[in-house]
Amino acid sequence: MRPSRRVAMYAVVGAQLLVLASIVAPQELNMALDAGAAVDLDLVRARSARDSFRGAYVSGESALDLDGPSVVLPADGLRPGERVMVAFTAQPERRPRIVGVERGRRAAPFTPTSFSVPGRVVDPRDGTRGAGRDRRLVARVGRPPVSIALDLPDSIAVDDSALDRFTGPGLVRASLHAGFLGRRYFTDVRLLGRAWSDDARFAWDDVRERLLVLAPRQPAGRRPDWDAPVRSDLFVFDGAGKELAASEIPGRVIDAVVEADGHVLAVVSERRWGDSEASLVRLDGDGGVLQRSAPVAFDRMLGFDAATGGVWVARGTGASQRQAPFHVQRTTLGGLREPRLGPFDSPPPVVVSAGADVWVVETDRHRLTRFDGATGRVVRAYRDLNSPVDVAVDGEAIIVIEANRSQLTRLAADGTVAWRVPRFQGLTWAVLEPGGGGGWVGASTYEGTPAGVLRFGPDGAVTRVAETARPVQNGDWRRGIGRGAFRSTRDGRLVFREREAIAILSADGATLTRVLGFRFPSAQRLRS
Amino acid sequence: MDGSPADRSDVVAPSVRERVLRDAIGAWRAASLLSAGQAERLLATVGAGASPGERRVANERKLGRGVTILINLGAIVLGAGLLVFFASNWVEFGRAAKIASLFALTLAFYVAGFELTRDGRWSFPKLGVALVFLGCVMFGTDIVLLALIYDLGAEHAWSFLVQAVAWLAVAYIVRSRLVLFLGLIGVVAWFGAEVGYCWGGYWIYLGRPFHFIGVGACLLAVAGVHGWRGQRDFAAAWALVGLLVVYLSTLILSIFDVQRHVRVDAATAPALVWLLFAVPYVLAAIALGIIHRRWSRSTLAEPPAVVVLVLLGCMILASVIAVTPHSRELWFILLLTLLTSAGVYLGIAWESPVFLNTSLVFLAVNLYTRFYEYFWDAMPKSLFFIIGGATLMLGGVWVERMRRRLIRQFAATAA
Repeated sequence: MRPSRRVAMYAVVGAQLLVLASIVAPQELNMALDAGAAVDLDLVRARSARDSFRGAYVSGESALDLDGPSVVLPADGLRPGERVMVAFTAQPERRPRIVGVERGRRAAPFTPTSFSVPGRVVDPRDGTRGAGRDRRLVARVGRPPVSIALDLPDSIAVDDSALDRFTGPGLVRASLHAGFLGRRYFTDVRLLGRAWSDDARFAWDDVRERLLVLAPRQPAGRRPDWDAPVRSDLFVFDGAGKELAASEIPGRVIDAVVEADGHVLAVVSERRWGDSEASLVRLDGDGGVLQRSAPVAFDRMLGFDAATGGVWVARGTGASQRQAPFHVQRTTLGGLREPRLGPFDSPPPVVVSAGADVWVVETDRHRLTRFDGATGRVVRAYRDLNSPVDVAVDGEAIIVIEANRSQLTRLAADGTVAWRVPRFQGLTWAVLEPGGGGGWVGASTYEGTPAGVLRFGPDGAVTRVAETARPVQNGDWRRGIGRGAFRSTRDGRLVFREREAIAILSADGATLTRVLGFRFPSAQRLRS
Repeated sequence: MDGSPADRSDVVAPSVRERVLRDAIGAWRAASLLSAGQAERLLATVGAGASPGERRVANERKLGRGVTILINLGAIVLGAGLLVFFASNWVEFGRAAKIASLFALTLAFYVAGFELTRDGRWSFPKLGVALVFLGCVMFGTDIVLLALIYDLGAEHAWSFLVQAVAWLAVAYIVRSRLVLFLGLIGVVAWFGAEVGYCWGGYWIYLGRPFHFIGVGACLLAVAGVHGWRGQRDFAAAWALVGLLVVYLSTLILSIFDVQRHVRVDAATAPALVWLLFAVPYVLAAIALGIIHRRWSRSTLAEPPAVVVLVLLGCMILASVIAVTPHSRELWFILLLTLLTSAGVYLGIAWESPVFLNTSLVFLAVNLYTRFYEYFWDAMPKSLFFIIGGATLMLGGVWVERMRRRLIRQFAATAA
């Protein structure tokens, strides 16, 4: 009896080891026998994390362009669950894009400009079934679109020491291999630079044609010290998006603007979380603090007044300054300055300085008021509006974003409506071209289709310029007091924030570059 | 493992058996039922039949309960220490070291554990079973960690099934109820995960737990097969897990109308899901058929058999109710009440403490859940808790007295 139990036991144990070996062996053979070429793929806004069992890894947004509406699918269509091979082409300075989809698992060898990834056609019903399986990249190809779950993990294992190098989202590059058995895997993972988090802000130095990005730092390492003093990074680029310099700033920069003399006027908080109080800080080109104001309640800051080196704040009555009526007043590094604008029943959400005038937007009261910035006198109140949220002014051209960011309106100086263009969604900003009355707007959709960046004429005629652009507010969920987009006075190029990049368009609307992050002088290896 | 007295020799320790036999032979000799020669010959055979393994077990028992506790405690601390060591330093290991340590630890636990059982070279069965249990846990952990190391995803929950099968096999080889419980939990986890993944849920999906009712019925039927084979210890383990699965699923369904909340159309379930719904009932019916045909003690006319057949029908009917788009909490309240009441009856009829205790607990939980549902809003909170607490205490005392009386009756009958 005993020998039979012993044999049975060791047979079961052997079977278990065989099961484990059947998991390990194909993976090791796949890597050990693979002699093919590799292709570099990027992860943007990559973040590092650590799992107790798996160890450190990075995950982020793939730089692969996974939308391929023009890709030709097999003539008889693709059925859910079918195995396919998705072919990509990789070109310099462009996101790798899908060029073909074929049935089966056979694929051409990788070349420096082409590679392929196996995948499986997703059942359309899976969308209603919830997330059952692990997270994979999903491509959408053809018309009507077919979803293909790619056999590529959305995260890459790295060494534990790599965690020390991430003070925020990063630009990560890894080499993708075909694998001897066809299972794709990554090697040579390296950190190329720093990417932009949602709370990163940018400012445009129109005099020197420089782009400045101010990005709060996160504590790095295996055991982040969340009590350490808060710091931010200041990254400087030239007008073409080429890296010039980087420096460190004490505190967390909430928003910033560049003054005419090249100094940076920033709103800085000493706290890592929350914006209860912030100081106005003047920085030199290296990020050194030149001047600092007393802390001010940030929720009362309404907009920069770069010409005088201050911000507009709403001040109420009473000891807390939070009771109606409210007045709008400049606060500078030297303290409060006259005049007082108002009174207002509630703090206005946006104040914009334009030349000698100050424009106060009152969304809830459907009103826009123009003040003389020197005396505080009301020049004109514009009331024929529907919940205005932003205004852009150039000379006599007054452009208002209103109606829940769905409508663009031009007002004449006398307050009459020159034209209204509805059918937008997600209007993010408007920038005027000097003298002409026309300009640019960023929006998520226009007339039901993706909009990106559009141009409007003096007569309100709208033309699409850059449909693939994805403009967002300067900052995402946080309240920003700076502008969302800038236009270069010298050559008319447009600079605006996308979710993962800062886009620079030429005057004719062509994309010059997308600044995905600040690239370090040399890449840092993340996996040995 | 045919349930014969010889095969159940492990129930009584060899030393105890030897002493009982010597006492009996002495008594028969004193009563002149045996001659002196016959008594001597019989005494000579006493103890000769004990295997070396049994003698080692007997030796171990001589160590005393304190030493056994120390050994088991040591096994637990050793296992915990190793696991903590590897968990603490896991991320520092390279891939090769990780994989090698997984294989080595699993093999070491299994080999050391088995060699310490009564079938192995040394005689520390409790320690051996504890190590084998750790080996089983390591095997499950290995699969998870290897999947993490290689970024593997699974289309089906086959890894759960593989490990559950391995655990069950080990449980029967080393005759360990502890490992058996692990294996049964593995079976239930696999089933939940397979249905969940196929139906768009996540891992052990509890969104529509009525699929577990069939699994519970199947586990109970297998418990019946063990009962027929005379393996009462293993039968109790199967029955306990089966009852827990059935009662917990029905309880959840009687509280939440989960399907309505997750807004899932039952028509989206692929064929495999329906197959997984049906197969446990088919297996349960086959098991019951085998018991009926092979176990001469059971007849279909007996009330417990009738109750079992009615319950099986009710459970199948419950699955039909469950896929309707309408609200169905009431149906599951009725089903839970019926099942727990029938469980109490079967516990008494079969003299099964597992059936009786588990069913009584869930009968009480069912009543208390209804009390909460219907009176929480209607009554002042102070009165609600006073009545709830008082009824719980009084009900608990009454149920415990009744349960003890029944358990004593079972023990007396067994004696």
